[in-house]
Amino acid sequence: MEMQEQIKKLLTNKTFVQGMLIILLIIPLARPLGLPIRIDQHSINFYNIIENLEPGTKILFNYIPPVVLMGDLVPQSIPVIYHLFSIAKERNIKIYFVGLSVADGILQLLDTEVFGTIGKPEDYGLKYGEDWCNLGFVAGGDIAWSTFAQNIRASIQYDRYGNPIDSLPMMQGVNSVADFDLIINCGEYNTMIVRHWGTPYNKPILVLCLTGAVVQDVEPFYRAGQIKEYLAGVRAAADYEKLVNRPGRAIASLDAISISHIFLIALIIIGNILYVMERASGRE
Amino acid sequence: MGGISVLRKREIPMAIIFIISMIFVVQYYVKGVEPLDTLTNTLGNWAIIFSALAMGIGLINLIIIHGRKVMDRKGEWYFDAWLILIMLVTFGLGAIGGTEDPYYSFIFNNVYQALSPTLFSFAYLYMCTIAVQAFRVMNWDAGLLMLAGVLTMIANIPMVQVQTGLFVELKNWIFAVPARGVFTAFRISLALGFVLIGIRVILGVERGYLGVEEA
Repeated sequence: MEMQEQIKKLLTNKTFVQGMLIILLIIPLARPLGLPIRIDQHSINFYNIIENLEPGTKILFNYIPPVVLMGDLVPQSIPVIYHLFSIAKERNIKIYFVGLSVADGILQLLDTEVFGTIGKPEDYGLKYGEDWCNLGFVAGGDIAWSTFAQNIRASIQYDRYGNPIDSLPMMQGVNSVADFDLIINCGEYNTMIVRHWGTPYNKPILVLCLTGAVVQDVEPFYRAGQIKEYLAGVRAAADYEKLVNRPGRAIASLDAISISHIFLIALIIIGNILYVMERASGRE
Repeated sequence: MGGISVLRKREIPMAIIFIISMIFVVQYYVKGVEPLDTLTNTLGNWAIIFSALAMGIGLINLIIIHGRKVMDRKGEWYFDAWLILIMLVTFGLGAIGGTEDPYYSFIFNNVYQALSPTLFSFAYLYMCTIAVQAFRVMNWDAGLLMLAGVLTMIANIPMVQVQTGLFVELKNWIFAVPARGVFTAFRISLALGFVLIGIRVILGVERGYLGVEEA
């Protein structure tokens, strides 16, 4: 009975639970255990879509992860962009980065987090303005998406680096969303992308999103075919790192996810056993 | 005599909203009419400029609100002063040196970028603590919630996924059937609600955005 009380006290002790969690998260992050992972079917499908892109494909990549969600979104974007860069030169694939959002989201993460990890596009033989470009940040929500979709030059005249977009060779003949072959969204507001870019122009959309509730938000569009495929959370990022054979921070963080989940589940089960025992003894 | 100035009449902004909304609604359904496309592009461009201006207004608004607290020395006013100082320094550095400025980049990469996930991590730790205490089989409803929660957690453990597909299958079923059903219903209700609010705004029934109290 005394031991039961002791365990109960531990479970309700915030310092113990949080302290243990911190330790269990830090150890595998500092020294990855290399636990095995099973690649999810969504990740395989996503990879295959990118891998089988036709030569000359034009990709509109809306890259605007908000800082609060960057822990989930950026690790996914790193191997995906690496994959795109690796095949872009050989297949003459053009990548148009842009950051359309309501008001939040950080396009700069592309330079700092992505290029800082995998290297600049030039390292892959890609030339700015010919193979890739960054059209910059546009705020405004629904109306910005809609205006951009109809006429890119109505909402953007200069790219992120101050060059007139008409001076970029790859912008020739590109006037609206209709001129792209594939749309990738890494950020929030997947619904707006579907509403303004995907469905009206009948364009395939790939989405990098969060786990949990956001996946449920994406799923109805996925089932309806309005979103072609999606990756969700760090778990999918680790899958993709494995698929492109470039282990990074997502794979390292999976061990921490495994260990911390097991710890939490164990606590929940122990807590319930104690609760049932307590109720039973109360009845007696 | 003594009437409201014409500039303050509600009918003017309501008429503007009605006309502009109708232009966008018509343009969505009628494609390929050049003057209409040009007009919506121009209006859209204005909206984008207004959105950018709204950020500036937000900046001024923050300075006014927190500035007042600093002036009155109310509560923990030094946090308000700190907020204004950091905001102005970051804004100044960004405005003068651009986003490539090394000091601006330092603040962005090492303070802003680090703080947001830190707050998220704190939330995670608290959620875990609460989950341990809240997941109790007190009744059937709580039992079902706990079962679904624990099954999903187990299925999300990469190590478990390698060992057995059973939990993944169960999780997929929870996501595919009950959860998706609820979310789809939620999404449809939300969309219908948006349509309804849109119609109310266009028709001038919804006037909260004008600062008018609803009866």
